[in-house]
Amino acid sequence: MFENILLGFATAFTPENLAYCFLGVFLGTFIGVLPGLGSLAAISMLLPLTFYLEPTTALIMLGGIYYGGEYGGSIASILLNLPGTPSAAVTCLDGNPMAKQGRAGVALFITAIASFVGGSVGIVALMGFGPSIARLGLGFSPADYFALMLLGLVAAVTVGGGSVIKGLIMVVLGLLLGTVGTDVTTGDFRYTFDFLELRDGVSLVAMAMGVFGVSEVISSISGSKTRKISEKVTARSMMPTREDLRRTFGPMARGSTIGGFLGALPGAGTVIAAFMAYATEIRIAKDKTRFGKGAIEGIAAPESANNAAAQTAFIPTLTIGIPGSATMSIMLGALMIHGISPGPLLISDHPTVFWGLIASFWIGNLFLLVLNIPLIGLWVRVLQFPYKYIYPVVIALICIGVFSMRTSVFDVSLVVIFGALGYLFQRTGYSPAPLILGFVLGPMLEENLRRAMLMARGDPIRLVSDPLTGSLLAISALMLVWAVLGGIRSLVAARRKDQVFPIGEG
Amino acid sequence: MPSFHWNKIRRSLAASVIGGLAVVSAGATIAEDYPTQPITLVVGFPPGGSTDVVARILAGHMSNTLGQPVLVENRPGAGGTVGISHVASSDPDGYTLGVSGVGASILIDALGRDSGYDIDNDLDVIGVMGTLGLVIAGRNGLEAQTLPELMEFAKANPEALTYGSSGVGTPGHLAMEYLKSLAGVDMLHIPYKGNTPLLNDVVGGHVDIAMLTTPGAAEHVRAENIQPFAVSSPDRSSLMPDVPTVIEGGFEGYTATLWNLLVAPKGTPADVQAKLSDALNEAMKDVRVVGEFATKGLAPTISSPEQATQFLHDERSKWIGVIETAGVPKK
Repeated sequence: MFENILLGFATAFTPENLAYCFLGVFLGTFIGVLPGLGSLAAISMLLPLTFYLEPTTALIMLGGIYYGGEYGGSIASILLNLPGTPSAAVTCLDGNPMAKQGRAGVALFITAIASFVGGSVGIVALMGFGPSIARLGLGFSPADYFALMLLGLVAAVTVGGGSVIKGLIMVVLGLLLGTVGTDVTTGDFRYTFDFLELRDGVSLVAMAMGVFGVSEVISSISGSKTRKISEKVTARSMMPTREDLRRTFGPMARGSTIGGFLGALPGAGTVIAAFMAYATEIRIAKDKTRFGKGAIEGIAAPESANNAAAQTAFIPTLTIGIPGSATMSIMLGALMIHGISPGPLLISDHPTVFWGLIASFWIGNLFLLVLNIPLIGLWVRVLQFPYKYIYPVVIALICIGVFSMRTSVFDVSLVVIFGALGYLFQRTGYSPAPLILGFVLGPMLEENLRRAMLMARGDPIRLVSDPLTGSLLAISALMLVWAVLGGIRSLVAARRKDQVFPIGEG
Repeated sequence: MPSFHWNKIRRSLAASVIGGLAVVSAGATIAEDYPTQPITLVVGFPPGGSTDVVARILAGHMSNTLGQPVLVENRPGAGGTVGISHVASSDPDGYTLGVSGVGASILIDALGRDSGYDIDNDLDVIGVMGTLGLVIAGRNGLEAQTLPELMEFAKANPEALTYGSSGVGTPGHLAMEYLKSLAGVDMLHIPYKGNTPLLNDVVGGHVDIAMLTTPGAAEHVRAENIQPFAVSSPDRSSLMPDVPTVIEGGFEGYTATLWNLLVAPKGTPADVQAKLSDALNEAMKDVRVVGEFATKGLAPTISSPEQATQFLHDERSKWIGVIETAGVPKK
């Protein structure tokens, strides 16, 4: 183990690998900040370039882009309420209110720290228990996946703050949008309206960029928001207070754990990790009303979660050769191009690739921290730019980014449609965050339930009798009961209050 | 798609302006000079996937032969049909080519799911870009050790075994239905969204049998995570030479392979097609390409446009036969 780590650092510390690691995280951060351009698009575009690199070097750079992108994605969320990547959508909820309160520096600082903590936890998990975590992930049957996704969905109802009914409506809308495309179980096309492009479903990036990004730009045109931040950014204003730091310890620990676990499960990914971490914080918070208004926990938890997930996503990819996401498939593609067959024997056959890459993750995360803290002042200055210059650039970037994902004009039209819808949601007080979560979870929920039912030959008892599935379902049921009871109790309390102070007295 | 039409109009306009003539059709390229500009090779799947890798290996070599870069452009979607329908509506000038697999060339239409184009009338087939075998593999812990044993067990216990495929109407699904109908057995089909989650579930032991691509399965076979029963190609695979073919397992005449065709919009001039065909065949003979193909479980193919078109027809009658014998429902 120890000599492996040494071997890893020996590989990662060559000047060439260090340079490409830095290039990767720098590009990743930059691309993450740009709305619409995600690490998937960036890695796809840079893949052909890696043909000329050593396989380890190629992977170090592509890996750097990937977790660097998770890091950068939150910057635009906080500053402009435009998530750079779909997983940073949650960070908008509390990050942007903080920026509006003049605490953008603090929010960015906490993001950098939380990302570093999350990333570190993820790397430790990857180094220490990679193969065992991978085996645990393999043990998850379709029924277990279904139960886990259901748990996520139950937790989701609380996300977004404000009215529970509105949250529910948005989750359901997300689930419905998730049904568009080819039904995996029968191969039927659903709601594709004869568009070839809709057969694979609605593009998540197009939807996220529309409902968050474009709608934000539209609402700024209407002049409902005038810019208030003009004060100078001092080093002091970036520093979180002791109270801020105290509040972030718990969320970072929980976020990293949740993210680390979900990242290692093939298919779950960083978006779900960030949402689950946020929902957990709301669940356990004493004062739930602070969320959505600039609660620092609302940044620390999802940011540590998505960065932990970005690191542990490498576990199934590298230890068993099964990529958990589209981005990870491309990473494996990069290995295959170099004649290295990714699979369960990768670690023993190519130890320099595996340990070199992991060592580079440490170095890369340190680079990110060192790179980002001094840049905070620069980023905050973006807020002092007039919107009339920023927004056209933003719209152009969104269009380029979405187009580059699949070279598809159709997806750009989707952005426009979702932008209009998003503006409507914003005006009527519906948060788009639960919509995204429902959209991400819905297809996985349905696919796994139907697969599990097929395997159980249509017998629901067989489905529930599995200990893991059963307990996950029981937790979901308990959470629902808790939520309903809590709702009834506050309703009763409100009634009683009315009786004590009859209307008309004030 | 409106955008495609616009592309066409825009390109025609550009051609007319540059030509400075009143009557210049969009496809009028002087074939002797071809190619004078970079060629776009459209792949209907995302980068890094098996189709993309094939395209990039061949495009690299063809660029050298043709003296112009052959650029791979990924237009993923709807089983490859989004990319191929883009090629079908492009100008037949030899500058937009496509890589069309079994699904986009045959299965999607044969199963009654409109692909948005008609391969015979909208596209010219220039050559075959190699073939790839599938492997029937089982989870660890199955009692059967060979294909005949497995089929015997399945026959004695109808619907007791589950088999996974990478999706309804994919070659893996149909190849398994084909085997089922030949062996007269019944197994429960569990469709997945692509090869990766399927691999996950067979390695994890949640599904009994899976039809996997040989390069995707080879490492798991080597690590004894899964148990190979037979390969679907007519000959044994270079990646797992110890694994017998389905034919060796007693199913005479059974073959199911994945392949890709190099296609161009219908009406591409014959001499342009000949140049492309020569460049493709040249690449197939190259030592480095052959070596790279072998490590990825691909078998190189040499074909003229006529042979490739004939290959498409033969494969189509075979798969349509499979769909009919196996009774796969059409939409």
